[in-house]
Amino acid sequence: MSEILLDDVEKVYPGGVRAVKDASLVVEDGEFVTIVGPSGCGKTTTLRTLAGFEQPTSGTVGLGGIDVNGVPPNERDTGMVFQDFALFPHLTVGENIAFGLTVGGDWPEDAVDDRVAEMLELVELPGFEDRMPEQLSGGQQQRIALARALAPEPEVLLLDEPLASLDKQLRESMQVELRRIQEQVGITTILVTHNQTEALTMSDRIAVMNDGRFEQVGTPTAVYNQPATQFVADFIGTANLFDGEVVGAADGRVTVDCADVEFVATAPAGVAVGDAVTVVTRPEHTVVEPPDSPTNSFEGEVSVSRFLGDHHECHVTLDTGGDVVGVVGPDGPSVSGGDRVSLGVAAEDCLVVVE
Amino acid sequence: MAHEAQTEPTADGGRLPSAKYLVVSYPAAALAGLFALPLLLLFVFSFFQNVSGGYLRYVLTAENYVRLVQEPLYVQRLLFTLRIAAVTTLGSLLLGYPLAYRLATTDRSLVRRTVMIIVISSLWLTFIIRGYAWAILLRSNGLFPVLAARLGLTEQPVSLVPGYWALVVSMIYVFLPFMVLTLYTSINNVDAELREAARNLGAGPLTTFRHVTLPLTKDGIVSGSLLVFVLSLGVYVLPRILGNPPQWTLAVVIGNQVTIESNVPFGATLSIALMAVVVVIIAVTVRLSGVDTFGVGDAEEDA
Repeated sequence: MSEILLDDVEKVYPGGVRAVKDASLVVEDGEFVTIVGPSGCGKTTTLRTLAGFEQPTSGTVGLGGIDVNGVPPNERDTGMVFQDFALFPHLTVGENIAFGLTVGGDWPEDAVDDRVAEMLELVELPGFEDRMPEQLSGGQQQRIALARALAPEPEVLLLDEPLASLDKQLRESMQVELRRIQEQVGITTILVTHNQTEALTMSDRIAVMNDGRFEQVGTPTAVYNQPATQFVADFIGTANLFDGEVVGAADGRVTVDCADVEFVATAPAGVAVGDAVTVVTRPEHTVVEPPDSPTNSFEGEVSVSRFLGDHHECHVTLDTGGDVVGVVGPDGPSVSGGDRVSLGVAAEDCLVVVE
Repeated sequence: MAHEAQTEPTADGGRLPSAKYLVVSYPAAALAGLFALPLLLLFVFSFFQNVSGGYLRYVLTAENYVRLVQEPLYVQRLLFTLRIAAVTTLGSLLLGYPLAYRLATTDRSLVRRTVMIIVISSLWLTFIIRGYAWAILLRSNGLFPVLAARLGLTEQPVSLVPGYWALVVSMIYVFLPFMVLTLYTSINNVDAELREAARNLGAGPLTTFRHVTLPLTKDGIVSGSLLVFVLSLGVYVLPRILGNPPQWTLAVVIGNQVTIESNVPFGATLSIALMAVVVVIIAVTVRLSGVDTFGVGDAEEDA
C-alpha cells in the first residue's frame, strides 16, 4: 500500500496562477523522496497540499491509503519541518516537542516526558528540555523542529527546505544526520529543496519539478545518467547541452547534427532520423587532451581553468562556437587560460534527450 | 578618567565644551520645560487656596485634597470615569481583536488596505463631529432607535441620547482604531508558520488560537488596552454631547471647576488625583502581566 499518493493534482490560485499541473506521484512506505526544482516551480505548494494547508483544485491526495481531500491539517497524520523551523518562541524546547502530544494530541501525561526525552536523544540534544528556542543555534533549532515533528509518531514526514537557512558546513552534516534519523525511525519522507546536491545525496528517489509539472521521477543515478528532458539534464548536475537533429542511425548509434558540431552517440530507444534532440555531456566525461582517441573530439581554447582539489575543471570555447565544461584527468596536462586543447567524449557518454 | 579629561580647560579657553553642553542639554531642557515644569506647577497649584471671584491665595494647604475625599460627588465621578473607561476598553478589545486578526491574517492586500483606510479615516474627523453624528444616529428619529422599533425590539423608537450607552458606544467608536492598530501590529508579528505548525501538530483552529496566537499577542493586548483605557479616562467632549450630568466624567468636572467655578486649585487637585490613579493602574497592570509596556516595568528579556 502506498503511503503517499498524488493523482493528477492541480492547484490554481485565485488570480489564475496554476502552481501545480497534473502532478502524479506514488511514494512507498519508508521511502525518502525529494521534490527538487527551481524556486516557483510548485514544489512547496505540492508539499503544502500534502500537509493540508492548500486544497487541490482538482485531483486526489492520499495519505496511508486514505483520500484526504478536504481533511484539515490537524486531522492529517503528517509531521512537518518548516523552512524557518517555526518553533513556538513562548514555549521551552520540551514544551515545543510535547505540543503535538499534549495540545494537539491526547497522550497520557506520564508518557509525554519520556517521549520528549527520547526525541531529544534521537536528535542528540539530551537535556535541552528547559532551554528557550531563542537560546539555540540554527542547527540546534533545526534538530528541535525535527524532534517536534516526529514526536507524535506521524505516518509521513514533510520537510520544507529545512537546510536552506543553515550555512554550508552545517548543511552538509545535517544532510547525513537527517538521513540517519529518517532511516532509524523508518518514516516515509518527502523533502522539498532547490538544491540538487541535497536531492542527489539524500534521497531514494528524486522527483524533478519544473513549471508545476514533474519532469522526471527516478533514483538519483537514473535521473543523473538518463535525464528524461533537457531541463532535468541541465538542472541536476552540470551539463553541456547541444541542440540538434538526428541525421543518421546505424549499428545502435546515431549521428546528431548540432549547429556547431556533430556527435556520434549510443542510440536511445525510439529515436529516428529527423528527430529534434539534445545531446548532453557531463563535464566528468568531457575529457581535456584525452589519452585514447574517443568517438567525438573537438578543438578549442581554454577560457578558465579551475583547480577543484581532485581535478581541474576547464571551460573551453570551441573553435566552432559554443562553450563546454570539461575536466583534466589526474594524469592530464596542466592547462591555463588561452591554451589550445582538444576535448573528447565517448559515444556511450553522450546522452541523447528527445525534445 | 576619560570623563575628567574632558572637563579640563581646552586650548581655546573652554568654549568648545560649553557649546557641547548646550547641545547635549537640549533634550533634558525640552523635557523639563515642556513636561516636568507644567506638571510641577499643576502639583503646586493644587495646594493653593481659592478665593471666590477667581482669585488665588498663595498659601500651601491640603484643604483641596480634604474636599476631594469628603465630598462624595468627586469620588463618585472618579469611580464612574474608571468604570466607563474599563467598559470602553473591554468593548474595544472584544470588537477590535477579531477585526485586527482578520486584517493581519488575510492574504488579500486589497481587503487589508481598504479596511485599514476605513479604520484610520475615522480619526481624520474631530471628536465633536463624531459625537454629534452619534447623537443624530441615536435620537428618537435616528437610525438605530427606528431600526430597533421596526424589528420589534422596542414598541416605539426610543431615544438613546443623552444616556450611558450612547456614551459607551461613541467612546468605543472613537478609540477602536487605536486598539485595532496596536493589535494589528502585534498579531502581524506572529509568523503565519507558527499557526501552521500548531495545526500540523494536531491542534484545531481554536486550540491554535488559545495556545499560540493569544499568548504571543499578550503584549499587544496589554498595550492596546492600556492605551484605550488611558485615553478613555480623559474624554471631555463626548460626555458633554451625549451625556447628562450623571454621565459626566471627571474631565468634565475638572473643566467645570476651571471654567465655570473659576476654581483652578481644585481643578488641579482633581487632575493630580486622576493622574495618580492612572499611574497606579498602569504600574499594577504591567507588574501583573509581566509585559514591558511603554518602557515601564522591569524588562526581563535582559535576564
